[in-house]
Amino acid sequence: MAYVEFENVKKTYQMGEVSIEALRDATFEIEKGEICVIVGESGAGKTTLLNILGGMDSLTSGRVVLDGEEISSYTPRQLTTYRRYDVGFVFQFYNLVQNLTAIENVELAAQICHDPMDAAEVIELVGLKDRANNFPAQLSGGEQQRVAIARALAKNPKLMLCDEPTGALDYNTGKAVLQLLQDCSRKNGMTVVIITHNHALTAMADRVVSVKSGVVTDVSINKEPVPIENIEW
Amino acid sequence: MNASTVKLTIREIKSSLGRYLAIFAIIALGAGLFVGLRLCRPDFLETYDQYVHETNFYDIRLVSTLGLTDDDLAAVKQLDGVKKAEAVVGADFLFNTDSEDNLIMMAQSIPDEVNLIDLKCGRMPEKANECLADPAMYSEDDIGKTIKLSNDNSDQTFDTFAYDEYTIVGITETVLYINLERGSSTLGNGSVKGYIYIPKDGFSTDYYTDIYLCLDTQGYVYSDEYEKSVEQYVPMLEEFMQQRAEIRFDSVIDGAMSQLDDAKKQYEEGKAQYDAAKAEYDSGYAEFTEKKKATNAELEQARQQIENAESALGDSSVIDQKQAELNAAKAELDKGKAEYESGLRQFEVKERLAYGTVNQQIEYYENRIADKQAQIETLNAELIDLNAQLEEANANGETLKARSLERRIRTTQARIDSANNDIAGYNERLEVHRQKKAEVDAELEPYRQQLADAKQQLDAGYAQIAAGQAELDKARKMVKDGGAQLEQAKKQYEAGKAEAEKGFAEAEKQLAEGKAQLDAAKAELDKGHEELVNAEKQIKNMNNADTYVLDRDTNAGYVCFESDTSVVQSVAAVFPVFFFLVAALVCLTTMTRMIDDQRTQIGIMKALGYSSGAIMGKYMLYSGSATLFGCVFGIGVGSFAFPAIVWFGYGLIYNFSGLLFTMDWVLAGGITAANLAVTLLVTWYCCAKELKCAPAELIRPKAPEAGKRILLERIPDVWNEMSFMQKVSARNIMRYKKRIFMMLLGIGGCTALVLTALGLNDTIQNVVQRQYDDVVLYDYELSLAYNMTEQEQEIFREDAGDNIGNVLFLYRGLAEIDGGSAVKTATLSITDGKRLWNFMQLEYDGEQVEYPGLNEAIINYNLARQLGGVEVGDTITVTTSDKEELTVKVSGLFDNYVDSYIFVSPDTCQEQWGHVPEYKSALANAPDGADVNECERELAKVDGIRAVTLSVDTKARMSSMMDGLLFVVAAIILCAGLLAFIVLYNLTNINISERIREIATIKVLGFYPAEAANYVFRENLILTGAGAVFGLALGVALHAFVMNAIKVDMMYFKPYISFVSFAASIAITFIFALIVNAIMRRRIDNIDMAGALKSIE
Repeated sequence: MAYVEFENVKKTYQMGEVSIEALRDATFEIEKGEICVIVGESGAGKTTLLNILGGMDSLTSGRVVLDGEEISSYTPRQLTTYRRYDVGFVFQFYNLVQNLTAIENVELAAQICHDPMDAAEVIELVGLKDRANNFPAQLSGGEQQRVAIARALAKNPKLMLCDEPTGALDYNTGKAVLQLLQDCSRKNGMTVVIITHNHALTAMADRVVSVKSGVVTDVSINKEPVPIENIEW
Repeated sequence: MNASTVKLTIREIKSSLGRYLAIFAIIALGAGLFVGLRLCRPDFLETYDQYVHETNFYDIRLVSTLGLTDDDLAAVKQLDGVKKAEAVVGADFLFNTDSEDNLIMMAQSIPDEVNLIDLKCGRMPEKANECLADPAMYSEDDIGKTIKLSNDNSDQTFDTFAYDEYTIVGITETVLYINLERGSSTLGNGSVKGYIYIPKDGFSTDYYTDIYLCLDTQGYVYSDEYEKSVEQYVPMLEEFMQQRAEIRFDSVIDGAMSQLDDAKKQYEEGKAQYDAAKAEYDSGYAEFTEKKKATNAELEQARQQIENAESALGDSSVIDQKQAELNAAKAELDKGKAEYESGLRQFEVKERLAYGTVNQQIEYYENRIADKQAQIETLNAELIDLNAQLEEANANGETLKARSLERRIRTTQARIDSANNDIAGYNERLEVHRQKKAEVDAELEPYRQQLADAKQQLDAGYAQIAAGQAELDKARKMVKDGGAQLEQAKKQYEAGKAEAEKGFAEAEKQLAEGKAQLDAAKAELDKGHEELVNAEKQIKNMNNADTYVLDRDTNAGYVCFESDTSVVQSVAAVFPVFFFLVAALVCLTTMTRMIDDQRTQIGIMKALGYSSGAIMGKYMLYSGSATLFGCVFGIGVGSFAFPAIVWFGYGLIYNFSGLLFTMDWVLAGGITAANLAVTLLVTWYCCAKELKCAPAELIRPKAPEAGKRILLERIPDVWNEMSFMQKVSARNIMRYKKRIFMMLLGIGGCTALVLTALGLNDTIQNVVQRQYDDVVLYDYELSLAYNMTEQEQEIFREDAGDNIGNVLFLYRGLAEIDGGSAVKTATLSITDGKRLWNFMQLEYDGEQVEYPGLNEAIINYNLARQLGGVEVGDTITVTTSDKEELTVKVSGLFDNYVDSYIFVSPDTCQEQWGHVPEYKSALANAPDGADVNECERELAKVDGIRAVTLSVDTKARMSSMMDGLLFVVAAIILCAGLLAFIVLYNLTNINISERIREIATIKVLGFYPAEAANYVFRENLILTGAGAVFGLALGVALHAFVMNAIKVDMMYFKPYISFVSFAASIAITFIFALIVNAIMRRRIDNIDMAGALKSIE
């Protein structure tokens, strides 16, 4: 049994009289410790997919299983607990709490977990030891994203979900962030799911899930992922 | 502004209905309260004005001390400007209720034209002994009951009324007494309890007490225009009254004189009658005396006679003595008799011895002779018979027989012969014996003679004694008979005497009765005489009538209504301004926030080439329409609701109902314009600020406010002790300076408004309490009939006895105080200061005020304020009602809450006037532990007291007056609460909108709903707390400002806020904050995490 399983997941949004099918018959698996890249055009349904996997949204039908737990049957409360302990998020716009320093943003997530990593250690891990006491506004985009990754890592989650983590970053910074994510996976055995519209990133993945118009068109296993520094886009 | 702007605006409103409604509501509340409270007084005055017109409330009341007549009425009707005139009779009387005795009722005749009554239930009186009663005392249930004059009423009162009791047939209200103030009376304790209306025939007076006039006037009640138009009539009416008073005086004098003459005549008649009766009595008395003397003499005579008879009757002892003598004589005699008898026995023995048998011999022979002679007799008879028989037998030839007869005759003859022989023998012997006997007799004769003499002597003695005894017995019988007679005479005398005495007593009693009657008649006559003299003196001393031309200002209801509505006016003048300010502030923050939120959209519009005006139009339309609708709605509702609520409160005091609503279009328009101006300006300012930026800049998200270290972090001791979440909260709170300011001001403003409103309540409540618990220590204010000397004061104290504790005699009267810039009326008290402190506590900020010395005065703080800020050391002029003036230096101020007072020492009067005014008032305390009401009833009877005013009564009256104000306060508290709610809602709403990404983030991080809500609300509550604390400070200042702005002559509202109010205003703020949080919690729960995090703004 795979670590993450999607079985015939369907998601329909009701917008007044119109119902929009954001996702249908999505079926794929992710193994533990893998870097999975979900790739697709804008509006293909990849964010919906991530939201469902991250416990931020419910699905209309189908099944989602993480580490043997069926997430799709969770109550909202259970979903919150799931987010709290099992999932780390990294967003395109970082979503740091502006009023907290880098290390405090990490602590914010860490202090509600059972078995968090030490905030200072994580900050050091993402290479921001010297910037730990800076507020987000005092950090560059890349640094903010590192803080976001540190915040996700500090929870020691089962799964790390990254939604366009480089979307707001320049090329080099983006690369550095991806490197960090890859390192996390490789060094800590973290399962990382990256959502992107950038096909170039599929090279770094262990597994690539292609989404198009709400349908998973392809799931391919990359036997030899390329190191980030070798990827160009 | 084109159609798309309108469409866009409507869509905007729909999508942010909460915010739109918040602006609408807050504007509505502010404008509604402002206009509503401002309209209270105009509405009330309109209502009152209407009532006054409907009921023909008087403009001028004419009163004369000598009463008014139909002629006066007819004359006054002829005067220019008099539209209506009506004369009425009014009089007070004492009556009893179930629980209280001798309450004062004021009776008035039912008017037809002026001061029309307003029948509430029942019917109008049809008979002269029916009445309409006061609704303050009686209800519909009391119809049919009677109100009876109590027996304690004076004769004069009884004379004034045609009946002693009146049956209630209806309940009526009157424009004369619109509140519970019923005025005062010279009867009883002076405090009139209620009124009744009775038909004119219910009075038995021949004059009227008042004439009420409706004049041709202009203007509203209380308006200067009205007062001026009434004033112009006053001199004319005063002159008129003066003339009428002279006429009345003459007629009254004439009437009185003729009455006096009648009375004199009556007196003379009575006197003559009395004299006649007196003469009759005197003659009767003389007669009686004479008769009594005669009868007594007669009785005396009778008594003398009896006495004489008694003495004449002598003593029975004389008889007894004689009896004793007699008895002694008899005893002597008895002794002689015994001697004689023994002598006799001796003699008889001697005789017997001497006679021997002689006497027996003699007797024997005599007996023998007698027998023989008897035999001879018989034999002789037989011989005769035998001879007769012999002859017969011889005649008949019976020889034989004749022989036998012859023989027998012979024998018989023989026998006779023998008997004769015997007799002769016997005689012989007898003779011998006789001889012998004669010898003895001769021998015994001396003895016999002696005895016979003795016997004769004894018999004579006895006879003498028997005669004496007989005489004594006779005498004794005579004494006995005389005694009985005397006894009877005595009895007769006693009976006669008793009868005479009884007769005397009766006569004396009759006489005494007659005398008493005469004396009574005399006393009455004397009294009549005295009365006559007094009446004559009175008539001589009778002054020209005092006349009064009184305007409405002498009507308690009229005056109270003005002052009460002025308080509302004062409160309404300042209070809503703060609402308005808070509302504007909230509007400002809301619009600022909204435009901040829509910065990107503005940028896009601008980039698309829309003009600034078109872009701004949407926001202008948004805020402008909310404001306009808010104003229209708020003013529409508020102008009815607030006057109605406040009127409800005053309806408890004022008895005319049916509030009329008015609209002050200028005010309403002004408020709307001001609100619109403020919101549009705010909107314009916010938009303009944004529109100045280049579109590109606008489209880019505004950099989030940078996080900052806060001051607290510099204090590691505190900072390190705080939990992570506390640190987060602390940092967040300090993050947005604007938000802190807004929260503090918004929440603080609400707390301040609530506190001010509660404080207003406290202060108002406090006025009465402080005045009557802290300042006024006396239980009674006594109005005295005359200025008492020290001796009279002493007597007065004795009379009052146990019903009075300490007493302070003083001068008390209204005086005009001229402080230079203003003239105000105050109660002037002139008394010795040393004892005043037992009756009034005069303090200023807790320190006792020194009693004024020579040419000094102390006045209360409020008076000083009203006089234009008179301070210690300033000089003021005091003019008494007698137009005497004092110029004094203010030596101190004191706290006083109701009315105004000025105290001056008697020395000052002595110095400036040369005399001290009469002390015709007194302040008094009830003895410790005594029932003040009971004492008051007793005191009212004490000689020299004209009226007693109970402090507790005054307090109760003031309290009930204050109750009306509480509805204003309640309305304000309600609005302040509502405002607080809306402000909190709005602020929290903005707060959440601003931080929606942050909240979404922490939700994504796995914060449970409660944790996420607390993350926001913790800050909210802390800010609410800080705002509330700030609000308390603001509230104290606002309260002081509002209280200072409320200017009512009669009362001084010293700012006072109770602890409870502080606690309550904080509690109310927090309760609203919690309610708002509960509502907002749902919004936080419903935040779409994914959506919020995805977009950049």
